[in-house]
Amino acid sequence: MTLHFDNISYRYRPWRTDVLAGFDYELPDGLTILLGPNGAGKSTLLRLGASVTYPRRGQVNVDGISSKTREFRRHVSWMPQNVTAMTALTAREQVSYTGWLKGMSRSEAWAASLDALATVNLADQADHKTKTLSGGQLRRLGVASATIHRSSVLLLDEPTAGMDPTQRRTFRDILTTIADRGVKVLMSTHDVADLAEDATHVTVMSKGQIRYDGPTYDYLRNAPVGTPESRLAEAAYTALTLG
Amino acid sequence: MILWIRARRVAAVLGTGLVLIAFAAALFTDVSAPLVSWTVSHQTVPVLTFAPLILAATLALCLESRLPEAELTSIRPVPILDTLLITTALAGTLAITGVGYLLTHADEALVLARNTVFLTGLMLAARSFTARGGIVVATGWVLVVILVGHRTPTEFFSWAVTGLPIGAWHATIAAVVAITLGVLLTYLTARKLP
Repeated sequence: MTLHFDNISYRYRPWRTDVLAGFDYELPDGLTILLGPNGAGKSTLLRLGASVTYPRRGQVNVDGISSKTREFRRHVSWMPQNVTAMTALTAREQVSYTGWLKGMSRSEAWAASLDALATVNLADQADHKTKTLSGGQLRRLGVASATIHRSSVLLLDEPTAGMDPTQRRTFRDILTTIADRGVKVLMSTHDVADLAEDATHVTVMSKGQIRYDGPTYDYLRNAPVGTPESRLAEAAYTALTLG
Repeated sequence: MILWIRARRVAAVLGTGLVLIAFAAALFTDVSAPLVSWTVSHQTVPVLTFAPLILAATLALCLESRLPEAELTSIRPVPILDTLLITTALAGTLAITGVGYLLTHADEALVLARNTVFLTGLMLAARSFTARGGIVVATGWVLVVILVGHRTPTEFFSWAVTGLPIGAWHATIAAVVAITLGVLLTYLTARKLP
């Protein structure tokens, strides 16, 4: 199953201009990195994809299932930039609660929560209150919550913002593991450092338009000739968003 | 459902709130305190004037104890559950004040019930515009009535709903309107991002 954006238009207020207009996109297999400057429309795209909000025109769907249906929500998960810590709950309870909200029974969610926490290396924190978790652990808890019900699509809005290089590496490894299970992952970021070898696709957005959408190796070819290899990703990004 | 009850801290927060209201109703009926007023020289304010804020505050805390990223994309009918929570909290308060009235026949119990309904409605309506503003508006209302609500030392202006006696029908109607508006706005803005 995959996520489709079919000719969608969206604006935040009726009197504002469209953030996205006549926008088409299909999420490919594997881990896709969504790059773009501030105001490019990345977060809007992810919110539309998660059914947090709905397009003014066009349709968001998973293999024809509209984002306005409950069924759609079974197939898509979303993690915003700021993950909420429910201070009264333990990590396991918070993940289970998300599973229950996504339609699992309480016992199913409780059983699945340990697996979800293990996937993000948080099994040892299962019985700790979420208020004791660090920022990096909280993001991983967000991924565990978003994946507990085995959705087909996982959308992450700048999950690596504020992480140090080691935390980023760990986080990307977790996403690669999830993508290897057949989940289609779309992760937005400002930072081309997130564009490691494990990302299968790259989508670059600027001013509500897609500037590039394709395999990672092709993306790097957008860098000007003569760019040192260590700066290829950054040079390609600059060429695509400013060029 | 149990996970949702745990997430909303219903037992710990709302349960405590209802117990506190019961205690307040039992201990402070007929108890007044002298407080400053800007419109009359001397006034005494029934302590129970402040008791509805216990329910408004605890209910606000419960409704704020949420996981927006999961609840906005939930399959479960979270806005309906929240409406049920509000109804249950109010029903609990009405039951407590009803028992209080049956035991004492004091109008203060009925005034407490009406004011709780009004201030909870006000809190819910304000909260749907700005989350943390809900309880500030409800508390502000009580203070404004104390400060400028008196026409004479024993009589309130007709807009000062929470100061009026139980016989003032327009105050009861105002309470019903406030709670209806509050519940409706809470339901309609449930999908708003924090």
